[in-house]
Amino acid sequence: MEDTKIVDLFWNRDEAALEKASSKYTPFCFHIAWNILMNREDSEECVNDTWFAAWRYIPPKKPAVLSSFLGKITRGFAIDKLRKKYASKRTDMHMTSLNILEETQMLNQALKSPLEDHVQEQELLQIINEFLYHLKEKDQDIFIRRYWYMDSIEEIAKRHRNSVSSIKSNLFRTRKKLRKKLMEERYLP
Amino acid sequence: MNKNHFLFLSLFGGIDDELVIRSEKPWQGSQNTLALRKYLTGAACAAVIILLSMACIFHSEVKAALHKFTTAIGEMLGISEDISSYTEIKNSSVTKNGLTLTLEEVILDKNQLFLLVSQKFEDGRQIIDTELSDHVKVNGRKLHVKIQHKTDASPEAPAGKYVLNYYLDKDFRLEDPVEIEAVFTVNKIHNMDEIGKYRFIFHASMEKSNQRTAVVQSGQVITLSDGTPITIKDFSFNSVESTMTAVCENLPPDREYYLKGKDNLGNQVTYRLLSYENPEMVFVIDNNGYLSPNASNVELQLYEHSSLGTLIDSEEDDSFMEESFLDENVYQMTKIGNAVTISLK
Repeated sequence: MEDTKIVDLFWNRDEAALEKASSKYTPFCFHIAWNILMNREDSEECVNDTWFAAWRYIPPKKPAVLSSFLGKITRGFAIDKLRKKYASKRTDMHMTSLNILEETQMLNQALKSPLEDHVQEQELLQIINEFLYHLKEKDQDIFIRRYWYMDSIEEIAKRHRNSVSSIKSNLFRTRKKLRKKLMEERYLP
Repeated sequence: MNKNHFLFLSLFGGIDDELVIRSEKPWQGSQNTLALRKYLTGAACAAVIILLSMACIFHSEVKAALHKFTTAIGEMLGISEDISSYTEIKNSSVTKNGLTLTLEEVILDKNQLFLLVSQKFEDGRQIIDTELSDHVKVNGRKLHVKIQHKTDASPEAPAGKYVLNYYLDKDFRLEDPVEIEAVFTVNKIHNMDEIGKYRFIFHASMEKSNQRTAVVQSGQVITLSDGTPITIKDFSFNSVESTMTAVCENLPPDREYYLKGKDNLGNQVTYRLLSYENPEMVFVIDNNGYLSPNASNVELQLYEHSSLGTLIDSEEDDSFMEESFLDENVYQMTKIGNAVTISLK
């Protein structure tokens, strides 16, 4: 079924929306959750929660791109679960997530000050979006595959037919540039 | 629970749908890649970083002659000629914080400087990914333009090796003795922490290099599509590298220029525009090409490439400008004018 029709079902409070969304987007959403959690049960829970969250959000929201809308919800749930695992020092966190947390430390630090200074998340998000749009296509893809889809470095290297070290360096340089950009925003009004 | 660990990842979840969708699709670039890099203009205070696995560097014809590599730099650059006479073996090491940096080999050429640096972690220390940044001076003048090759880890070099390649512009008219000071800063890739600074000072000789480098004058003209002429001035080459200078008034901006062709012995070569300071142009040979020092002429065709988008103005810090790999099949290059044949004798 076309996305617009699925959205219409949500909009009209037709419960078939849940089934249609689930049958079309379960593999996509599961993959997102799996990359973050690497745990079948947890990933399935995130995906199931996604349909009900979509039910709550639509209406009033009317997503233009359903896949991305649902993927974002799943990712949000998965990150929440990861945060809880991290807080309780669970040992079943896999290396990709741990590495990503370590890699993004510098960006967390850069975000901390503006957020403490009450810069709105939306403003920061706008800065990040602009930064991403100005990146070279390849750098943009590598960065998003790593920190949105949370792919392993090896997967990204395969996708771009580059060496692992090349991808690591690419990410390092992009993180450095983004940090610089975010640091400049510390003094936002 | 430390919420701060998830600040970025949480916020990043909200990026534009358009961006998420773009990366959802299979990646279309980087097939049959041709390395395209924005040429440097003005003060040229930037450099190109190329991080390649060894296999990517080798020219196909050179692969057949792997056993002939006589120096590590030659091996990394895929040069099958015996360049041992060009190469000074230094093997000078500095150790800091459990990491030893060794300056293994140096080639100082009429137009270029090559440094081979390897890194080794102390026994028992975990090998981590590093980034090498540099500050290199020749007779007190800082070199800015560089191409950096890095190998992947191998049993021989578990922490990888770097070849740093600097172009010496026309202002560098060096006379012996040449003093080179190289300070390398090594950072951990994952959190940018500095491991240490490593300083090497040494001397190199230009005399032999100058004798081995052939320089031929040309004067041939290639005309761009808008009628702008490019006049080839001179062409220098030896077993290690090859450089061509040309002049062109007001070169159209935001385009890349390449000269591709083969020598009369059948070796394929690609020259890319390294720098342009109106009207001076400098083309250097790409490492996936090879010009035989025994060739008597080379035929070259100029290509123009205009589909570079946002990479041109990427905001960089003061240390580097990045390379871009575009798909030759997706972003077609346009032939400009007729091929020219340059006599090398």
